[in-house]
Amino acid sequence: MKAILIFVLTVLPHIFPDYREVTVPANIAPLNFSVIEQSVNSFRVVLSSGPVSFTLKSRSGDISIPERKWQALLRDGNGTVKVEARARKEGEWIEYKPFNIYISPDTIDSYIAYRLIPPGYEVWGRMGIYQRCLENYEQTPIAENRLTEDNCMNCHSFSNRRPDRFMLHMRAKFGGTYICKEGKIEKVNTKTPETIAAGVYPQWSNDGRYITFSVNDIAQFFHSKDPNRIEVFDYESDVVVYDVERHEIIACDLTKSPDWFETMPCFSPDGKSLFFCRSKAVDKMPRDYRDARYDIVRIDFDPQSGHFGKTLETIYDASSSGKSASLPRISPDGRFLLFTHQSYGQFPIWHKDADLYLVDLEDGSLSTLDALNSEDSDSYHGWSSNGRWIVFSSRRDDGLYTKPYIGHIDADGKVSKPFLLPQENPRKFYLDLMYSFNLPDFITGKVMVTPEEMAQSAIRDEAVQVRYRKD
Amino acid sequence: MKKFKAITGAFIFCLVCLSCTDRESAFKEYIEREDWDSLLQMYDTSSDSLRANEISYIDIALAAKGELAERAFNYLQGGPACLFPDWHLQEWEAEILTDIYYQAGHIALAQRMAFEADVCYAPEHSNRMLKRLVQTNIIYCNWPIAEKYICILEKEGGKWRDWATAQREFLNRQDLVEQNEEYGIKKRCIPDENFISLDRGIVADLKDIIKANPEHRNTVEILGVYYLLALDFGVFKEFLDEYYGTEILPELPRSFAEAACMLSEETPGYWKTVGVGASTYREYVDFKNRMSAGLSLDKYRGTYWVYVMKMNTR
Repeated sequence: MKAILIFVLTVLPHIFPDYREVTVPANIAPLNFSVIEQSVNSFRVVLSSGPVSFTLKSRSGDISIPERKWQALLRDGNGTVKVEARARKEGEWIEYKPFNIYISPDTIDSYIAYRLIPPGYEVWGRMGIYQRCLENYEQTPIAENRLTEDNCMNCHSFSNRRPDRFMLHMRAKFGGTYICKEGKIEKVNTKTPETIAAGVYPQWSNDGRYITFSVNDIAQFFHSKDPNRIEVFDYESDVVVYDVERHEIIACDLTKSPDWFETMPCFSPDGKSLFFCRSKAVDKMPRDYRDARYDIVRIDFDPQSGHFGKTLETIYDASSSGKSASLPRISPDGRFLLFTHQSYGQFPIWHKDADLYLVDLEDGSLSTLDALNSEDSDSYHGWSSNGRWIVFSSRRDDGLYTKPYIGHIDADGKVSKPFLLPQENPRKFYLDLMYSFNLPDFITGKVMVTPEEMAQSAIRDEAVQVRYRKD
Repeated sequence: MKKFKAITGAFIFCLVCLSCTDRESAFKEYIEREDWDSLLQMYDTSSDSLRANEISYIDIALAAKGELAERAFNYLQGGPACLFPDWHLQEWEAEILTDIYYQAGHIALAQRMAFEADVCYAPEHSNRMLKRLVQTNIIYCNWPIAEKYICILEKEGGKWRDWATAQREFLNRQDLVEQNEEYGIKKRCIPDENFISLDRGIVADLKDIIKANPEHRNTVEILGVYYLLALDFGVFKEFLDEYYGTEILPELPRSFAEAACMLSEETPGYWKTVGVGASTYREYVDFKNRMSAGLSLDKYRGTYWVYVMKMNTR
């Protein structure tokens, strides 16, 4: 019998995606990964949890976990999967320091929805809104612009994560807001003479009655030498609420003021509060783009009458410390405000310093969520239905193509190291992919409206013109 | 007889089409190989009809050879849009723009337009644009994204794989990038202080690049030719006053010298102050005399003076 020499290393293996010490839900698809090491021609990986244990071999370093074995680990194991990797390098076996994958008892919504778009500037090419089952690797389209003459589509939002209630925008050809409710699609034009643009950055209330948008005069420019590459800014912006039943856009002086930029609103889960970002209006854009610094404010909203409250409450004051906050999202239990924190501006996706922060609305305490954040942009986040998972877009891997990361958050707001959306062969998938995952958000099931039905509505339907009401 | 004519007609039509296709594919091939000499050989300097992308690529080829200001007006130029075409979201415009920006040392816009052009090809890709994305990301030291595009090009095989693999040595080696003949000089074109690209117009951007890298002669030539194409004599004079005699412009190339002769109308003797030879000035005087007398100007074909005359009579 030939003796095998094993060197035991004290370092963890370099793997992609980095699933070392991550926390995952028990209903997640197998976390396939690749061991990235030079001059290695054979790998062995042992996965074990309680009584379950199996060995996988690979020449390329791509580790593909059979679904049944993965499920046995999660179902019959002890809640922690131990991963031991060995590599054969120049005829000798080396063993890396083992790592764990922690299995949370908190389940996750079975789907996420996102837009796939080249992370570009003016040309978008092919794009679409897609849904992905988290329990396997199946991705299916919700809407694709190849069916609507390559127009732009964006800003999807689901009411309370329901797959039968969602909306999205189309721009240019077939422009309009498409509201899908229990299988019926309604096309509306949200631009009114009283508002500066059609609605963007939507959030649909949990009861399905209202959608809050901002209306923005948006522009972008390109840095000559700045890690952020691109700046997206507003010349002006306001926040409005759209009454889906009355086809009415509503705003008040506190959400639509010429002295302020108001943008990126969201409802509280009970629909009685509207949160949004607000900066003092900057006169000389784009020259003074760094002067736009947003706070997160709150105003009462009465869903019964459709009236706003009379005062604004500052929930997170970023500007007084020379910072900026955007994309507020409230946890399903109403306790936490999750938002993006950056040096300036409201469009964090191009800001390398953009990080996710959390405010406990019960006591006002702030958490910087270091375990979730990276050196690059982390933004565009959403809560799962049970409030135990956060999905967000991150540029941490290559600095350009955003990918969806999912992180666990416990009842006290403590977060764990996030994991990248699993793929059958993640190394190949993410390397070949020339699209960004934009605006990932949880949904509780599969959207049954087809891309063809969306396209038919776009081509066939006349848009309902909404009217404006000042509150 | 009718049948014979029809067959003959079809045969000639096929030959013409074949010829156009061959020409078109040769044009693309030379650009892809950056074989600028062969590309320039495709064009007769007396040609009176060039497509917009053809004259732009002649300018790019001349810039790549460092001969733009010397030879640009040998060809039928049609204004500043030949150098910097307007961007109407078409891939061919973006391809020209990424090439001319790269020649000008405007790395931010070269990268941007390469990306725009590549997306125009969706769901396919342009290997040439991916190559530019590798180049510009290496220059910016954006290693992970440069490596992504290298990997994609390596899968293409052949010349793309060979080129892409050769770029791997630069990954995570800023020192090698700075020492490399092509990347080093382009990297020095990136101004220390960030600015908003095109916010103040292309001229201001080019001036900042010249300030950042006074060794990058191409930027000066492109800026000067841009002024000349726009018939902007006032700013061209300011340009000569600023750069002539400096390390980057010790002597005037042909088109600049010809323009300096014209500036002498307003400022007598100006040509002498910027080192233009007396023979060039005499030719200019002769050109004017012949023009006044309605004599043939054939011997002055290819001069900047003829360009000005044609543009003024349009």
